[in-house]
Amino acid sequence: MLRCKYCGAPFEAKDVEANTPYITCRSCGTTQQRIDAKAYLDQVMDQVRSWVSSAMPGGFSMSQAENVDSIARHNIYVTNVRPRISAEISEYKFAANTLMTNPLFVMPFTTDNAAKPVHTSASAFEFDAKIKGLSPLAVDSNDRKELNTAEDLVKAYALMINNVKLLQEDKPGRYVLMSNNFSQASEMLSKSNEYAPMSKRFLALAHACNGCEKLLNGDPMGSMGHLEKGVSELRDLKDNLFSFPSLAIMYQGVERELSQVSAVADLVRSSSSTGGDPVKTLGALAKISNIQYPNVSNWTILRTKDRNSELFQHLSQALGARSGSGTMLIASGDGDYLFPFWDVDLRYSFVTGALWSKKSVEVTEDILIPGDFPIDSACLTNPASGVTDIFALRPETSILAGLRGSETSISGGEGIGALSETARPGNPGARKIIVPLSTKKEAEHLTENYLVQRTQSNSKLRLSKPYVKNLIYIPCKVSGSSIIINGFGKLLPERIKRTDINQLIVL
Amino acid sequence: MALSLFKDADALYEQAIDLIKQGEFEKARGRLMKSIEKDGGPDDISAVLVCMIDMRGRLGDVSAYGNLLNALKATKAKEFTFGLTTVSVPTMILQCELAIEEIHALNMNGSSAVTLEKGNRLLKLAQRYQSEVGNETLKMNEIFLNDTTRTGIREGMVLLAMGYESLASGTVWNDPKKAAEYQQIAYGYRKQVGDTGESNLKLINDYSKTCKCWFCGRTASGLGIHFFPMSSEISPMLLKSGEGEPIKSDSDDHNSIYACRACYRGISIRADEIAKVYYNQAMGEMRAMEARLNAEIAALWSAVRSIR
Repeated sequence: MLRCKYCGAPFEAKDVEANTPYITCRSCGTTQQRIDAKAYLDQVMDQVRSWVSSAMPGGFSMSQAENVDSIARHNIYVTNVRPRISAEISEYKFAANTLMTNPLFVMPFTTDNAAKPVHTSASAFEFDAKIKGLSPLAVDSNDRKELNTAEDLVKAYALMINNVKLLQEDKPGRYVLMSNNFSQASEMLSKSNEYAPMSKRFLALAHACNGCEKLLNGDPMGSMGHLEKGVSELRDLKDNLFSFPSLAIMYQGVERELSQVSAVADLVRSSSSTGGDPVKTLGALAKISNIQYPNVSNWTILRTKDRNSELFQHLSQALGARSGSGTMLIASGDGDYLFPFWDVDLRYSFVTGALWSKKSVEVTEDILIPGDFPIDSACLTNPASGVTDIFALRPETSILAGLRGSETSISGGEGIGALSETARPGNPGARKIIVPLSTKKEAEHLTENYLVQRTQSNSKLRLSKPYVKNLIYIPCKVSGSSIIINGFGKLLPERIKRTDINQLIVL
Repeated sequence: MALSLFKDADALYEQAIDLIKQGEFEKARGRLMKSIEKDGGPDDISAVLVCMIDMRGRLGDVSAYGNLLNALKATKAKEFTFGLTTVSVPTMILQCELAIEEIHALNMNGSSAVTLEKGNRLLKLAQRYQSEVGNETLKMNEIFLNDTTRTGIREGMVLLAMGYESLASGTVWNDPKKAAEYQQIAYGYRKQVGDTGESNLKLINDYSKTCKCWFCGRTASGLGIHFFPMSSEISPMLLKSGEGEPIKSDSDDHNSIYACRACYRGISIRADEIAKVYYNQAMGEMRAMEARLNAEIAALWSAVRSIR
């Protein structure tokens, strides 16, 4: 069978039979001259033959293997072949399992360079050809089964290496190729119970890729069925993955794939109800992946790829609210823009009083964090500038109150609580939505850093327990490139004063 | 706070709650104990709080978890507050039970069979963490270590890594290839939870290595377990004779030859025996020499004395 000279994948029979001078690989998408593919095949087969003969005892020819009696073949397999092949099979199995820990799907117009396979697809396909070349020697049913399973796994692995390359470049038609690779890999692995969850995963991703291809070809309605199937199959797999301990290693990868496929499905659903163009929105959203975040030492979480899935979910929710199929939390206020804020419920305790009057006081406050804070390095190095700094505004009390233990708070954020409490589920209407660029986990991290900062400067502060409740949107105005928000008083975060609307994504 | 000498159980309880919020755990424990003495019963929530305070610094102690579990099962309360954290009683009961099982499993050590049993128990426990705790944080870590990143899913991953490492240890004596596969899976989980997995990689490499014993010609897999390198000198002629063999009998740098465990141990034991004979012989000769020298010294002393 002719093979692609770029990725090593065997061409499909119908492509080989067609009498055209050019042939296109359905796995990597490269078009090449038939004559080059033939030359590559000869080269690969020479290598395989030479490798196989090096594994054989002197004087034995593989071309006559079928004529040699089965006991002799078995002996050759056990003595000469198995020791050599089993180490390589084990190496490929390890590499395949490691690759499966990564997400193998990206949203349209985005790329992902996280997965780094240790082999090239050409070397994996070549190894697959070697295994095939040795199969006449595997007489024992267990040996045959072992070789067949390894052959399927290595071939599926090679196809996934091609998909990883496709994840790295946003080129037209990549979802067709990916879907083709996923379907083939799923079919190969479905033969073995050991790899059943992997087979299910690939099948679900094939559906998701078909959905994306239809969407990009202008058929959002046609894409929905595929995307929804992908979502439900991935969800089912994720929920049951720990029943297969050897493959639960895929959990995080599957989880990220699920959030991305779900985000695309949600987006299509919300666009279809408003008559909007989901492809245009996807294009705008892709900008999120290209944002350069500041490089601050304790903020490595900003460089994790899975954060994009959550950002896409927030977006999807905002779009749903705009279309009327969902809602978003909007606070009362004036303005034709909606700015995202994380609403944090902070419980803390402080010590007041002296001697027998010493006691703890528990206080509940609200903190608001601008949803775009990760793009501002000043917020990351000085967390107080990224939040409504409630501890900077301490209520005025007498020294006597401190001694008597009659202080009720060491913070001043009452107005913020009132503002966040006005947030109600609603629709943005004609107002423009500023896209949040932070995740809940990042908001928690900023709050924790802020509390560490304040505990160091305030010896009275004892325990604190922040809880990031919601993402709320507060109406604001734009003047030039600056944001103007009312209702914060002296607590307006420094970040808002520095915000440049041109650096944000506005829907 | 009113200064009164005789407080009732409720006042003591309130005082203890306040002290916990101040981070004064020992004082809080004292007040809670007094509260229990005055008015408490076995179902008192104060008993739960005392056990919670006793958990500090003892997150690996089964008896501390056992006490807490008993107190939780006795109380009729649905939830309790420790510091600023409110915890549901059923959630805490589940997490205590899982923690006790986890500590018991991790303390299992012994033969291959025990290690295999340990591995299987850890895998089952991992599944329970995933299905019963899920994305909830582990409350003990949240309260005492201020760590909200440890969820049931993450704990499950850690236990899967440790489970497969135990299975590898229990299997390597009989089937090093299978052990290498278990280590490969463990490596994957280690990477998932952010560990380097370097020790797994080394074991994968060692367990996967196969050699042909230089002495008996048997094939053996598992470096350091079933075969060992022995320093030697391999002449160019001998090197040539091994060329083209699918399995090597010497190290890549050709400074060592490989010996299967049986040959290695046979040679080691025989070498020990020979060394012992030489040692005994040398010691015997030294003792004889010592006796001769002592006799000569004694003779010398008597000669000196006679001269005096």
